[in-house]
Amino acid sequence: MKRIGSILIVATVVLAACGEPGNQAKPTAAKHRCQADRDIGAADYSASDGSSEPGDVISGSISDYGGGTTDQNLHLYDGIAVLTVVGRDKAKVASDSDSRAAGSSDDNPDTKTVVRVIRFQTDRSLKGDVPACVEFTVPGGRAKDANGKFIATSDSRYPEKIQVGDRALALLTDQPAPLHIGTLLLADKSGDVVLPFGGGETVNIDTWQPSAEATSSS
Amino acid sequence: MRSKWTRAAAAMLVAIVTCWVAQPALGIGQDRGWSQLANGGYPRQHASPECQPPSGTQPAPGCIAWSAREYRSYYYFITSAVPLQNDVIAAVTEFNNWNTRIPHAPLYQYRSTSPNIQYRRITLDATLCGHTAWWGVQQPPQGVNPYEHATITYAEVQFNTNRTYGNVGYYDNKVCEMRNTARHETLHTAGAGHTNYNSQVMYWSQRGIFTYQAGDLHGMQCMYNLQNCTTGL
Repeated sequence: MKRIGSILIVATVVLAACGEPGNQAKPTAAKHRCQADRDIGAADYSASDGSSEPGDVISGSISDYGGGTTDQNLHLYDGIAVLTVVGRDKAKVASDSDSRAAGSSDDNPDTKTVVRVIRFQTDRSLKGDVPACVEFTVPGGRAKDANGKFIATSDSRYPEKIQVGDRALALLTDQPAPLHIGTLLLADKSGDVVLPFGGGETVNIDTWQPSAEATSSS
Repeated sequence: MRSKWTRAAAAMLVAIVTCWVAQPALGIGQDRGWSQLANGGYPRQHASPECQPPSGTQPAPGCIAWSAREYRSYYYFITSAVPLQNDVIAAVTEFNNWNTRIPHAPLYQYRSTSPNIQYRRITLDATLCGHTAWWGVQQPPQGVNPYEHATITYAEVQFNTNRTYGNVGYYDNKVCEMRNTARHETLHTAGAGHTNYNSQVMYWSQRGIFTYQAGDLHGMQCMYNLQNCTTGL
């Protein structure tokens, strides 16, 4: 009960600070009303929590970045933003379209993955026009399929656990469409994240300003 | 007075040397760097302890791996859209030759029907040279992290239509070197995760390492032969 109360307080504070969308341009497909939100996934296990059973299906993805400098890599993204999680839905087994977003095979019926809709408040839009409130489908989590069997999904581009109040640096891309979070880097308590490119640089999401090369259009 | 300053200077020197030695010496010949799919991918914090052979009465965190202690051969297929297929085949051949040194490690054979591993080309984020997706089944004991003690059942290596691929030895910020990308992804399909050591093939970004390294071998020995399971992310 105390935990639920804390979550509500955090959500209320966060949402009170989240005004109307400041920019109506792009990405419209991901825009939503940034209102008081439910966090019905709060009691879910993350993919890494216990209580799995023999026979449960697991899936995962691991991504490998190319060469080049951090700025050259950031240049390839359509948007960069600092986001705060304001709500999330329960994890579910992905539909076909969700599966494509999760990068799974579209021609193998046995390759199910789990996704979750997460709602964000945009704290800082560092590249592109990211609306004040956005929601995205993000791979990861644990859910039952139609046969009642648990499926757990992990993806190296997204946090293992993500909760209301978490802050993150989002690297957005519309390749493949629609616009989605290509990489979501959860910040630590001091706001630091490690960029996943060759140099492995650490930046602070409250103070970092990407270079002109990084923020130029790709 | 002089001796006090000398002692202070000596203590500082020891501290500096200790600190330097304790650093994860990226890219200067470290050979222990490896991780497992159970540990997730850099830069995310790893989700579980490194997989280990059983010890004492507690079930050790097990690796995600093919059930190689039962079967040695798995089948791979390369779809027609994948460029430079000879380099992919060469990478898999290298993987097989290298694995003959590791009892129980998997060997991959080419077969078009019902492959266990498929190499495809799809649209990925423009920053990615490659991506490996895998599926598996949780094995006993019950109640552990779902990514421990699991058997891989299918894996898919994905090359990027947003990238061009280069011949052996050629890569830059726009071009991915195909053979090394295939070498790296193939090791993912066998259960390997990423390492922070950029001297290894399993470093998470293309860095011009063109053959399997000691840390990569070390990881495979742990995963399939349950030997040398010293960690070294």
